[in-house]
Amino acid sequence: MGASFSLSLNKKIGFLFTLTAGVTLLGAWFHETPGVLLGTTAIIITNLACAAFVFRAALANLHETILTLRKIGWGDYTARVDATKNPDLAVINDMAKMLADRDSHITQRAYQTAVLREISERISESLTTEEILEITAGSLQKIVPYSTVSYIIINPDGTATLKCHLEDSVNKRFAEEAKKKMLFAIESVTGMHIPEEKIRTTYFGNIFDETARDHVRSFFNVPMVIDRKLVGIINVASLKPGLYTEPAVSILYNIVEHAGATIGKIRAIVAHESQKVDSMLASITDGVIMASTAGEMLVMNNKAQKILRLAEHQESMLDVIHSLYGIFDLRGAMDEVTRTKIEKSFPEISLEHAFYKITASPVLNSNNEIYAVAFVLSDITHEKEIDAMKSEFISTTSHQLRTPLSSMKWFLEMLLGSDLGTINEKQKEVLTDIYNSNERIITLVNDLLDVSRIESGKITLEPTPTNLVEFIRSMLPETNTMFKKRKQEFSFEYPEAMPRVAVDPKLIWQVLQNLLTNASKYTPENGKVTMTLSLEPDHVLLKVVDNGFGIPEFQKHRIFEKFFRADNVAKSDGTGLGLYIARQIAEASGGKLWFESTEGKGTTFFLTLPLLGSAPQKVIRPASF
Amino acid sequence: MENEYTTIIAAIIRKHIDVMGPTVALSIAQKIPTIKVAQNGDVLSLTGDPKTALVQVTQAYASFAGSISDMIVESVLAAHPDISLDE
Repeated sequence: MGASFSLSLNKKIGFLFTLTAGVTLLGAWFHETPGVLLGTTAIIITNLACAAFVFRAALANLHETILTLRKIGWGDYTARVDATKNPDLAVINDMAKMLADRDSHITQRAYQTAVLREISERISESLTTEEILEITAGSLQKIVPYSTVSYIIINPDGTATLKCHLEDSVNKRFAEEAKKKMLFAIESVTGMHIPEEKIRTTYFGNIFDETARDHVRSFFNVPMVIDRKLVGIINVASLKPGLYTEPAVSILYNIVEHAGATIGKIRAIVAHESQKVDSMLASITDGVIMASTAGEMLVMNNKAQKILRLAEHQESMLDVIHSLYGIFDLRGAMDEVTRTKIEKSFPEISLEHAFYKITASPVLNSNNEIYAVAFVLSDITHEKEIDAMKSEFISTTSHQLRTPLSSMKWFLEMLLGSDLGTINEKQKEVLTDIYNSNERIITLVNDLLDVSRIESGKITLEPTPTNLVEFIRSMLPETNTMFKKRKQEFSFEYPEAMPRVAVDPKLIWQVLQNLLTNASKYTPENGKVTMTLSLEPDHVLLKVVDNGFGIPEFQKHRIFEKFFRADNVAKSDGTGLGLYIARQIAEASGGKLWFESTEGKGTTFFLTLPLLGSAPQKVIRPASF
Repeated sequence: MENEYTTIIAAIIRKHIDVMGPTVALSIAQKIPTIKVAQNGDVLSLTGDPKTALVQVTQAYASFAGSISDMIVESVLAAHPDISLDE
């Protein structure tokens, strides 16, 4: 203020000097008096010097004023300058006020934008009422001063959660007073009284100062409404009186109103989507169960409840596990899928005269982390019945065909062996063609019978301790003819020492024979086929390697399906059943059968058999449909 | 009838005082030119059309506080079925 008065005084003195000198100079010029003119000019020069001094003082004052404004702020400056006592300052006073208002407005807008942005960003990650109130309350310092800021959340079960941040060291009574104001507001709007014992209160920030005597001198509440329901209230309280103005509070109301409306909209969208999912789950004919990796039931549709014969209220994982006790190890399946993150089909189960196929799939979040496992129980009773009829038909037909085919084979061998008289070359050629065709039909019938027997559970493993090297070498002459005929190079490599392994030699040979026949059949003439036997820590490994046509990439996943034949070998002989049968035998023997292949370069089939041996009397059943 | 409007307006202001706090709630009400409001929310005087005053009060609060104000007004008006804010 002192600076401003000195500015005014200097201006007045400068003006007086300049006015006096100006009048004198005009008179001198007018009367053309040289002495007076000289004297007056001297006065003017003096006055100009004074004016320069005044101007410098004015600049210094302005600089000082700006520094003062920066230091104390526009608002305070305006308050300190009394324009009525000093009319010269009215303009600067108005400007300061305008700038102060604009500054405050920009600060408030920036705060509102920052809080809304934070809320919008966090809304994508399951934003709760508590989070919104926490964000808003946590950023209040930027807009209003306070001693405490608290928020209370009304829980659906009638309890409440209250958090109070102590900015100042107030006494406990002060915080209690703030709490009462929120509870009173809740009761006023909803009529709901929340007793003290149902409120979980947390205080943080500063510590209580029980020596403090002050009470709440100014406060305001900001209620949060979602879907026309009061869900929480923020309370801002201060030791200072008359602190909260309407504009500052208005911003908080805008933020909370906007956030509440946004959450309401999101909840409506989620509810709508959830309803669609519920309708879909209710309408599908499969039973669906989804459980979190922590073992919490997330989804179970009506069909699943019906399949498991659960009552309406029985919706827990314990109920499901109990209903499948001794039939299906649900927890084990969950653990397996959680560990491997791979979908898995489990052997069929039988419940109440019906058969179900169970498929378990991992449910991943956006970070590719598994958080749940979904089980689908598909009723395959009808398929099972059809399959049983088909197997029965194939079995009966195959048996009926086998007898005449065997007779034909026997008679053809007699004819070709000239047991029934001499035949000429032309006749021999024709009879050989018939014999080969008959052989193909016999192979097909045998394969069909094997499939039929596997699917009806009529093949049982009979493992015996077997020296695999000797056994395979004894059987190789059967296949050597085939390789020689196609001018292919075949070798069998094996270790010098190999323990006996309990396997069903007849069935294992069926697998190897299939792999070797395929290797020969799908490798061009002059190609190379190698079979190696090696000992691994807990199993033996048989590899059949060829440099043949290979399996097309897009058909690899179907290679073990029944009747499937890859496009690049479809013209050659084959039923498409051999690998299906081979895999059933390998898996029933406790081993595995898989392959690696590059089209145009060749294929390697891998067969493992456990060193501990195959389980005796195990019935071979298809792993899945 | 005017008394009833005065009662309703006072009830609305008092409820807003309970919920928002007195400073802000009174500040909003005191801006309505046709009513004079006491510190406890009572309406000391009402000039002009009482229904217009009621509409002005409800609009002022709704514009400031949004949903919560709507809820307060609805709860107060529920006790006065013959009074409506509609034209």
